Amino acid sequence: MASPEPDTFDLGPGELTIGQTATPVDVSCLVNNAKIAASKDQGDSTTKLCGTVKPGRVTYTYALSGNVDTDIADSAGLFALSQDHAGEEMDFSFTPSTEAGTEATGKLIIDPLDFGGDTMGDPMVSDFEFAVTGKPTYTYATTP
Amino acid sequence: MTARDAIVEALGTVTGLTPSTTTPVAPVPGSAWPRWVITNYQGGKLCALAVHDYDVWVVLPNDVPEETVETADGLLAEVATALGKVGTVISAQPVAIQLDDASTMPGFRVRLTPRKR
Repeated sequence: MASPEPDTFDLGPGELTIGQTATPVDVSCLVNNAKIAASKDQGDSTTKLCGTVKPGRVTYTYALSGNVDTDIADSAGLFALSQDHAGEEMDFSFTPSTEAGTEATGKLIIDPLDFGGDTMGDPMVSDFEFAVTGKPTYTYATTP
Repeated sequence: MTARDAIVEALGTVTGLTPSTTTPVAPVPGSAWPRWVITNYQGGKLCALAVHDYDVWVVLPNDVPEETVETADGLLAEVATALGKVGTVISAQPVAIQLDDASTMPGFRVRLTPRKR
């Protein structure tokens, strides 16, 4: 008997909040795309006298990256937050699909967003890549 | 506030316009209203996938051609600026607005994508 096909989901609708726990900024309606990705760093392998090769230690670093419209007129918005608190650690919560229900939470280091745009008349946007401190915590929706 | 309400509120800031949420029964010069054009379900924001495009219709005076042109020249920039506060203005073009009695009135329409709110 064939295994049931696992559910997959499209990006959105979902939610992304960034900021201090008590006062997070909901930036969901600015987000054009976003994802958490891991970068692998592996140390050099070492060969022992007996000939055994021990692989180097593997570590992962995580980042939340994507693209957002910039809310440059909002003093309480994401752009202002990124400028006023550049380099600071912030809480975040990211749900790429409310239907899927899986949520990533953790802390990230916020960096300044771009100010301006590439094309006259187009919405001003900024790519971003915020380093995640440690490892994000994934909370899965409970299945019935 | 809905996108339609936001558009009407923005139109209300333009001197000389009488905005309404739907097509008026008897449009007159200065009448302006939004009309839904299309919704795309790709290219949206994380909070909502649907991207709605609207046309905003504006009726111009029809007495003499010079007045029509002069009014359009002044009004277009004002309307585009007002709508730019609630969304991304994509294009504008002249139109002949057909009335129920089959007569037409000059006007222009502005296409925009309202921002998510």
